[in-house]
Parts: sequence; C-alpha cells; structure tokens
Amino acid sequence: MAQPILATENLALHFGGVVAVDKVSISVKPGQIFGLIGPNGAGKTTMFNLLTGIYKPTSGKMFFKGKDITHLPTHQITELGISRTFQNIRLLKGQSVFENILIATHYHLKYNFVSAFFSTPKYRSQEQKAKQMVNALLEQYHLTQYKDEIASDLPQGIQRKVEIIRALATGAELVFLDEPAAGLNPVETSELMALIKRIRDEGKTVLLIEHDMKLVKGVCDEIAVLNFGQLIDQGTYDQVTKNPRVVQAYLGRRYENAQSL
Amino acid sequence: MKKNLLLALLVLFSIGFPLFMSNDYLTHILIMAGINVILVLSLNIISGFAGQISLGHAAFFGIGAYASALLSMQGLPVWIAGIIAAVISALAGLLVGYPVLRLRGHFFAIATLGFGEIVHLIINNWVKVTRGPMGLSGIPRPESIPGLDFSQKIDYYFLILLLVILVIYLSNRMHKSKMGRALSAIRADEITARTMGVHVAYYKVTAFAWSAAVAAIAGAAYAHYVLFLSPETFKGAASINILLMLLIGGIGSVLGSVLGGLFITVLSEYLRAFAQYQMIIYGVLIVFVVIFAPKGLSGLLAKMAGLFGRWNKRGATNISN
Repeated sequence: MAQPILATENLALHFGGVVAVDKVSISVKPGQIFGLIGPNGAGKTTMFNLLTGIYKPTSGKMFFKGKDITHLPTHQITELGISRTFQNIRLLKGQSVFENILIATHYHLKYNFVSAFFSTPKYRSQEQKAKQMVNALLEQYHLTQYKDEIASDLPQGIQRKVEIIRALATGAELVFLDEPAAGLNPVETSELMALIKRIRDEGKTVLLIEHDMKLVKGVCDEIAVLNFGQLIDQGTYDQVTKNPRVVQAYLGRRYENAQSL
Repeated sequence: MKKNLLLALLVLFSIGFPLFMSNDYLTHILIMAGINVILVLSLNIISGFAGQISLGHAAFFGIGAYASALLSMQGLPVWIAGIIAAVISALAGLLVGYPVLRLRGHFFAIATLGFGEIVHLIINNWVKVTRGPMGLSGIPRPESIPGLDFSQKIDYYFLILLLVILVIYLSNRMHKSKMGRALSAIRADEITARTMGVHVAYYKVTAFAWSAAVAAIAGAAYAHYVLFLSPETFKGAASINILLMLLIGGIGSVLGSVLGGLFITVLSEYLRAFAQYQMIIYGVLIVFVVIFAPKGLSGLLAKMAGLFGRWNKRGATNISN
C-alpha cells in the first residue's frame, strides 16, 4: 500500500472539559477525494484547524507524507503543501480577486526586502513569475473576467471558487475544503462537483467536509464519519451509509435499523 | 505614466517653491511639515500597512531625537549618529514588538500606549543624561556637505525633502513587495494570512522595527534642526497627534500620510491664535473624516479624481455624439 499523504494517530483536542476531537486516527491515500462527514458539532472543522496548525492538539500525532507536522506552525504546514478554504469564506476584504490569489504565492517568492527596495532583476523576475502564475490559474479556471473585481462583492459561488483557486495557488498537494457547497444553488453545486473532481484529476488530494450528501456521494472516494469528536466509521460511501452507528448518528436511535441514508 | 509625470512635477515644485518664496517663516513651517510627514509615514507602516494601531509612536520619535543628539554631542558626526539612532529605535521596536505582536487584538495598542509613557518618563527623569525637564541644548547641526550648509533654513529644507522622498520610496517599495502584500493580508485577516503561508509574527515585528527606525530618523531630523530637546515634545499627546494626521490623511495610504502631515502642520500653524481650542477643532475634524471620508484626504482625492474622470468621459462621449 502506498504511503498515506495524510495520517493522524490518536489525534485529540480538549477545550477544558469538552473533548472536541477524541483520539481520531485516519489515513488519506494520495490522489483521493476524502470526505469528512458527521452531524453538526462532530469536530470536522476542528479537525481541519488541527491539521492546519491553527489549533494545537492535546495529544496524538499527525503526519504529512510521513513527516511529523504535529508541532509545526500554520505557515510552515502551508509551505509543506497543505492548503485550505474556510466554512465562512475568508477572502481578504477590499482586495481584488487577483490580489486575493497573489497572496498565495507568498512563500514562493524568495527575494528579500533589499532586492525589493532596489527593484533588482531577481525581484522583478520573481514578481513577474508569480503574477503570471496567478493569471494562468485565473485563465485556467475561467475567472479572468473577475480579475479586478473586489472579491468580497462577488456572488457566493464565485467567492467559493476564488477561495478554492487561492488554496491551489499555494502549490498545495493536499487541499482541504470546508463545506464548499454551503450557500450554493444546485447549478453552482454541480459546477463545484466538477471542479473538485478536476482538482483530483490534476493529481492533488482533496479532503472535503460537506453536509450535501449528493455531493459527497458524487465525488468522494472514501469517507470518514465523525460523531462527538470520535471516528465512527471509515470506508466508501456505500459502506459507511449502511453502518447502523452512522445512521444513528445522523437520524437518531429510532432509525437504527434503517437500510441506509 | 501620467502618475509619474505628476510626481515629477510635485518634486520640482517642492524644490522650486522655497527658492522663489524665500521666506524664513514659510521655510520653517515646511521643514516642520516634512518632519511630521516622515513621522506619519513611519506610523503608516505599522498602523496603515499592517493594521496594528500604535498609540505610542512619539516614543520612537523621542528615542531617535535624544539618541542622535546625545551621540553627536559626544563627538560623533551627526550623519552617523542619526543612523545609529535609527538602529537603536528599531531595536527598541523589536523589544516591545516581539512579545506583544504575537498576540492579537488590542494588546498591541495598549502596550504601545504604556511604552510611550515609559519612554517619556525616562526622558523626563534621567536628568544625568537627558537633562530632564531643563531640556537638552547644545546639539550640533549636521556637518555641511558640498553645496549644502545646514545653518541655512533653506538648505535644511532640502535635506528634509530628500528624506521625505526617500521614505516615500521606501514605503512604496515595501507596499508593492511581498512584504506589503503579507502586511495587508495580516491587516485583513490573520488566520487567512497564516494559511496562505505568511509568517504573521515575523512580518508584524519586522514592520514595527521599520516603523520605529523611520520615526527615529524624523526624531534625528528634528533634533538637529531645532537644536533643543524637551521631554514635552514626546508626550502621549504627540503620539495621538501623529495618529490624527494619519487618520485625516488616510490610513494605509502613502499619499494620505503625506497629505495628513502637511495639512495638520499647516492648519495648526494657522490655528496658533486659538491654541487652546485646537483639540476641539481636531475632534470635530476627526468626526467629519470618520463619517464623510473614512479613507481620509487621499480617499477624498481619489473620489474627486473619479468624478472628474467620469465627467470628462461623459463630456467626450457627448462630443463624439
């Protein structure tokens, strides 16, 4: 079996007495679209925050391509190749689509302030390269027409897309999408599905939190189900939705014997 | 292209202006305005670009002024003393910024407020060195260089003009580089900045050190011009004054910082007769700026340029019709 691109070992996070994530061990194979599902408050977004270094785990370990990233700060995790979007879209306020994506090239630029001050050839060529990269991405994902618009003024669907492209622009191999379909209409959702598959087909791995089961069913190669911070199942969509514990978590004890979701 | 032409004209005007209007009083005001502009630009780096409000910026102004004055009085050339003063101030900035800027929220504003008071108290009470409330006199002028003899006000004006241009250039380069983008990401949203690979604490502390260094240069320029320093100049009120100029000019904007510094310096000169009402007038001004021009004078200017552009375009289409 190939080395997992992402793995956690008994990852746990306690907020005082509350156990937000309870000894979760998952492993994600490269090139997958991996779904992270569960009822509200199950700890999905908290998992993302742990994996991107925004929260520090109480115990347990996490590995990216075999490298221990448990204690790394967020910006270093990004540099290694993990990037994310947010549940409540976090685009930079007042900045254009282009500027929003340009920030993702930050750590690719290796010049120092002295070369920026004197506008040396090194500075200029690197800046130009970064800007070309952003322009190419905009072109590739059909966002060129919005390039100079203030990102936060655009429709929800476009904003989501900009945020996803921004995550890609960091050069990440592993992209976390936190409820990308929230607030999207059916047309936008199906476009989103195509986009997510396209990202995988370009060789990246996607970790996806989503409540829209149609989307989860449509794109996910493998799924992990969380409930009250615990991992209750991991497998394909068909497998996990037949698990009585999963059904119970979603629908309550009464439906324990239901066939599937 | 058009912008560059405008800039060149502005620089030419600034150089030519005092030559035709050779009036010592006016030149003096312009020098003071220039020093204030440098100060506002320095505050703009940390409070404008990075969005971290500093309420104690006069401290770095003071550190720069006293350090440069004291060092030059020990016999060091003024030019070198000024540079060392900037380095000392940057180190002070690191010392304050390193622990505090790692925190989010208002801690930084509160810490700088405290720092400002501490520096003022030190200047006021360390009589052996700073001569405290009696003030420091006997500060040398900058050594003359070929063509410029700084005992002439007009020559000092050119020095200040050069410094202003240098700091404007520095600000612009910073703003357009990855550092500037990192800072504006931090200002907009720290979490996003971090997930985009920006080392937030590093950039905040670096910006603060730059900001402190530039403020110290303003301090040195002040010390070797006025030739007398008193702790009064570096009180908390001075910090608020700098922030006021930045707010009125347009926080985050280099042009705004310049406009704010010029505007308030000239205004306070005109309001000299009503000195005790000055703060009331500033208060009203701030209220107006916050309500009607949240982006300050520079925002107002951009809006006017936009209106003019639209009006111009409409005129053109009318003609073509």
